[in-house]
Amino acid sequence: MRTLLRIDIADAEGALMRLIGLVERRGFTIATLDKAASSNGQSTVTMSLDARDDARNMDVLARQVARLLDVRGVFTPDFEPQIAPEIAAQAAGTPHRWRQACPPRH
Amino acid sequence: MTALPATEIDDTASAADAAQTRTRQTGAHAVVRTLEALGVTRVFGYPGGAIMPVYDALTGSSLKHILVRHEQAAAFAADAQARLTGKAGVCLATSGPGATNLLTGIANAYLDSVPMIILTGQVPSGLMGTDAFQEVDVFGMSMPVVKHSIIIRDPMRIPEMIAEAFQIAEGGRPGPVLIDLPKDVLQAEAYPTFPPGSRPEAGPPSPPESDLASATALLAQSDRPVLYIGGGVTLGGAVDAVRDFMARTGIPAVATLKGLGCAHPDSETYLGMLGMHGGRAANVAVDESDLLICCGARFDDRATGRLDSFAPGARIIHIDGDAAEIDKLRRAEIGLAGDITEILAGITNDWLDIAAWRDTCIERKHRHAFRYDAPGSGVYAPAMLKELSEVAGDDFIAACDVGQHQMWVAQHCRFSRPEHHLTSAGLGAMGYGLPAGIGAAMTRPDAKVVTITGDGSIMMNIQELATARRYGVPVKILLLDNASLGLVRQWQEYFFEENFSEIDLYDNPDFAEVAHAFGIEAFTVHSREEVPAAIDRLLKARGPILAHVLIDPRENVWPLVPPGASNADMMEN
Ligand SMILES: Cc1ncc(C[n+]2csc(CCOP(=O)(O)OP(=O)(O)O)c2C)c(N)n1
Ligand SMILES: [Mg+2]
Repeated sequence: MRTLLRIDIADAEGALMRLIGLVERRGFTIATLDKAASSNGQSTVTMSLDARDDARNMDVLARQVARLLDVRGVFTPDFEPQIAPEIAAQAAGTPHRWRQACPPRH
Repeated sequence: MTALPATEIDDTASAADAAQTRTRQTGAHAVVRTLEALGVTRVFGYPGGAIMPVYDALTGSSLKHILVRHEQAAAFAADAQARLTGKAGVCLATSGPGATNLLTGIANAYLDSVPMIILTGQVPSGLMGTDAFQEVDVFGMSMPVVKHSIIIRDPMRIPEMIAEAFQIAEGGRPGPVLIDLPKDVLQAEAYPTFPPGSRPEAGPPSPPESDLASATALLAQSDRPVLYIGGGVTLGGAVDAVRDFMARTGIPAVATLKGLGCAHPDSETYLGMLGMHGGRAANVAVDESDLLICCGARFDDRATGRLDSFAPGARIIHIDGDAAEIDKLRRAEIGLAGDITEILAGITNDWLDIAAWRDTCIERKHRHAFRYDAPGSGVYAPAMLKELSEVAGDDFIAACDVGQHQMWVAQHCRFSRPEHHLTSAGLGAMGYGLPAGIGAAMTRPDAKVVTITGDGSIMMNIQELATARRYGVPVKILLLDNASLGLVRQWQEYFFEENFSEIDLYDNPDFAEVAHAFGIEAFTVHSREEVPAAIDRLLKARGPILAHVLIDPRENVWPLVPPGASNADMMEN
């Protein structure tokens, strides 16, 4: 099942590579990926993801992403997740349509 | 390690300021001064081109550098020190091959959540990305096996970034943090000041009262609860809390490989290790339980066997310091992320009535206790290990290698504290034992640190005998020589139709002679009657010593849960 994840991430060397690597390693395929321009030292990444098998759990992934030191916030959509990538990209700009998946680390 | 107040570094800075008039200060000096200021006293390492500025700055420093003979050993030794102290161990290597040699040690620390700082030299910034001599992207290569990593690009930020790396390594769920240091940054003239404290890492918030009440309610409904203890208990500083909880509730407990030593070893309701080489009493209790209280464990496949038939009738309360572990492999009815001590204290057991269940578990534990009356006159390794740990007493620290001997240690040795059992649990890396023993014996020279290794494993880092000799490290090496890669042989015997492929080490060197060649006291033990004297000699030695113990190559580890089977289907001798 396709799911969306929105991540606020600090502008740190390797941060994006670390994020993408973790998502793939933990059993998800990245179907679409959008990174906004950075502002105030961070930027927003929106991904649509497909789990490689049924055992993969999006809530657990969100918590694993939240453990990354450069991650400032992890959000899951408040709308139907099976949407086209363009909409996902648009949705990234509308914060009220996302809910925080886990409390911030810092 | 906490961040330094600005004044503390100012003290060192003033000393350095005086020196500054005489000598030029560089990024490398800042690295060394920062480590000193953070309270680091020992680093394990190996020099080479890109890290040479740091080695230059080390002379005259209060830091004691331990020259190992392979970078992997630097990481393993730092790892052992960290497990014993709870503070990050530090290792140091050059770029390229030095850095790649560290990777196994970094992965080991990551999978066992050990705080570690890894400093690697890197080619100069301008050459990075050009396939320069001894350039590898260790920052990229290590990403899946570090808690965090940084490349320091600005020498002025060295103190601040290293201090933060320590906080990250030691905070929350600990882990390794790699710091890559381009050579030009190390060589640049730099006079940084120490910044005020960096951001502390918050632990997970305490679970709501209502969740604790639900856990209490679930417990009250249970007739057959089992406490399943993992390494997270030690990481969370909750050993006493677990012991109190066991005493207060009387709930039978089992432990993972990393959870060994958490329960009091003499506790009546402690049933031993569960899983692939767990005891029958432990595995059956979990199989029959109706409520599994998982405490700092992560449903690792070596512990659970076939996951879908693990504790099949049990509801799960999962308590962990790391919220990301909850629901990862098994859904919990109640997930409680936070401080384990606080959570256990919040679960009350007023309504618990499990006397019959407890008696059943205890009776089974006695009925299925390990036997030590093996026939013959050869050394029976399980009996020797049991005796060794009992004679050594509460100061016994084992640094294990990987194989049958490692499982025998887990099954038969007595551990007064979990951190006294140093084992490569998550990675299962042969070669850990000797460098870990060296790191442990340097950290706790007062204790009885014994490296327990096999004839296969010791050869992976045997060069470290030179390190033990050079520094006179009081590490005691018990080498159980079955002339084979025993654990692999056992699997071939049972799961590959006795097709013994490449496990025969008939042509091993004479290990006592090898030790002698390194200048280390050593002797060989051939028969059972020599065991008490051998243990006595090992424990009384003041410097490094090796006991080369010949054992029967056909000896196996029992019980054994076949791969892919349920724990309930364990094979026994
Ligand atoms: C670095 C590494 N390579 C391979 C293995 C696979 N392996 C696990 S146990 C084992 C045999 C270990 O032999 P030895 O040290 O003699 O211990 P024994 O089982 O004989 O007690 C091997 C090859 C491993 N765990 N680590
Ligand atoms: Mg062997």
